[in-house]
Amino acid sequence: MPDQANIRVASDTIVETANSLPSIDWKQATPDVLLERIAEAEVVGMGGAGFPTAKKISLTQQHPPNFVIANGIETDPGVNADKVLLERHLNDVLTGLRIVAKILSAIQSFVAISHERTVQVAQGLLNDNETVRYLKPTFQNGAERELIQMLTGHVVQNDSFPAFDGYLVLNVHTLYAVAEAIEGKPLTKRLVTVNDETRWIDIGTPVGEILGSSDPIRVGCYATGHRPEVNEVLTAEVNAISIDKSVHALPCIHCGWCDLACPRDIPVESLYLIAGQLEPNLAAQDALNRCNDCGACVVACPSNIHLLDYLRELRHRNDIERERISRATQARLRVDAREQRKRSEAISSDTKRSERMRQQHKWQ
Amino acid sequence: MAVTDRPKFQTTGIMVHVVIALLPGLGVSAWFLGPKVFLVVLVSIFAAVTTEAIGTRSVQILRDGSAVVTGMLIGLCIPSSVAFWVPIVASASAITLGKLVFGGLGKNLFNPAMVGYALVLIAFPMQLVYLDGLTGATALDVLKHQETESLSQLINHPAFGLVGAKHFEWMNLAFLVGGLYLVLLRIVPWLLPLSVLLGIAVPTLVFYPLGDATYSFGSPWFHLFAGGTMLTAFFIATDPVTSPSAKLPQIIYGFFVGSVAFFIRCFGTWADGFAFAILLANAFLPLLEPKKMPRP
Repeated sequence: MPDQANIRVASDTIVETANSLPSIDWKQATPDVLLERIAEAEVVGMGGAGFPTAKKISLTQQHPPNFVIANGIETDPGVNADKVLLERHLNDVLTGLRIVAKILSAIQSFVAISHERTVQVAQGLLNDNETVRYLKPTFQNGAERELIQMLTGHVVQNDSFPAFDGYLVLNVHTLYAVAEAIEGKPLTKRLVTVNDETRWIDIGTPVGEILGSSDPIRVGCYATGHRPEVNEVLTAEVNAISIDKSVHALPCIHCGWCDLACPRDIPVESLYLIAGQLEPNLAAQDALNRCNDCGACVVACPSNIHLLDYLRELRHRNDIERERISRATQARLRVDAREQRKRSEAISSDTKRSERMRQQHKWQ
Repeated sequence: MAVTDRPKFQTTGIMVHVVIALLPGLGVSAWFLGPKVFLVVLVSIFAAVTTEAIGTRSVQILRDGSAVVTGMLIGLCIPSSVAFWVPIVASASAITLGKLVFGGLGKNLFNPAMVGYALVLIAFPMQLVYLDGLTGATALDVLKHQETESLSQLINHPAFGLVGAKHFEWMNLAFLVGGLYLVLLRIVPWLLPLSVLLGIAVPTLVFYPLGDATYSFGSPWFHLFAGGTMLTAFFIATDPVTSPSAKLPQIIYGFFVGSVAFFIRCFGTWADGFAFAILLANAFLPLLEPKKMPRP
């Protein structure tokens, strides 16, 4: 057994504000300066991916012409962090959008919002090459590829990425963080919906302490969030802390509502039953690949079964199984190659020997 | 937040709505057959709930409300003239043999209520005959045992009502109203009850003109509004656990239930054939939806 370091990490309870950076006049600054600042302020995708925003922008920059889309479609059930942000800081979000559009010298910018009142306010604030659209908060509209198709008509192929086609989709909260970063404030806090109430919470707060009660929680909204890991802290992409209803789940009654709710026609109920067998099932991989973790099935389930947990679990087991199979195949190939080599060596040594014999006979 | 267009229900909420939808039928039954109907239903519910609590050694398990619905359906199937122990036997065996032996709610292959009802139907056939003094024999019995009567004679028989069986047509109408309530709430898929009703109406249409000369098997309207047609179509055939959830299997399942019930009614031993039709269709369910097979 290796020696285990017995380290206990405890907070010193001292709260310090991050070093503020000098403010930049973004209308005068060059794209490189702006991009560097966004990287320096550690702005990441706050819609769920957590991908560094500066990297995403520079990836898109390499594939002009560029279009920028602000994603204000809030599909997570019971979450209104984006709604609150747009109500309070719509101007900052639009500034963030213009900064990103300036970096990319984008042809057109789109704002997609799922709150009708904010759309009306936004319409009065737009420039020439900016469009605001109201879209229903359905699971399809919130997804990156589907949103691009809805707004521009462009279809991002399955083997491509939006950035490679020149499209940049950023969450509205990310754009707000971009505007703040240019003003000199690094990303240190975000709006989080905690059990129906939305408030600013510092990134890095232990998730167990946010709710302030001992109820079981999910990090993220109830439908798509995960159970907290030990000592998990709040990260920038988490938009909610919710109470976990699935601990009181009732048995599945095979109503099939999860199948009806799924926007991608995945046979959720069958996969749930397969997942219950606690074995990998590679035949189900096609259906699992289609799932984009939207959580519609979880919302539909009358028995509060967290179907997404089961699907993720099955996907995880399948990953392990595929890894095992590929290793076994590689080992098999190595063994075969070795046998082949041995056989050919044996043959060549046989022919060498018979050649030698013949030579000897010749001499006799 | 409007995420899906489907109204959100909890499993317990579904059971509450089913009980609400059964109330008009229960009221009309009590109006025609006497207040003893309430007693039978209450005894059935009590027996079902007690059996589930004892069988699982848990009161927590009752919160899904399925035992209440099972007991209520048994109470509505059994005629009110029975001895008090018949609903107790039916409910207890429904919960144990129909549900608990399979592993509880969601894992049962057969509709629990129909398992219990079929058991007492076979074991105590004389108890299960409607003898109310009100109707004498029911219209379905008349249809079966007085086959030589012509259609006009049959219609004028005192056991017949306006379109269906006397009294029973109003009970069926009440169950239809309750069933439509569930369909409108989208708790029940509309295709399933419709296929059951078509399943009984279509063979009736085939045999109706045939019987007109010498004897009749009854009109489509008669069969739709006699016996337990509406109760079965909207409340028993639609049990989510034991019915298919895809469209085509639903049509096949419903049609099978309806037509088998018709043939048992007209050519079988029992007056009404829905209990056995449902159990037969349940047995075929894994063939209809093979992907749902893995049930312990």
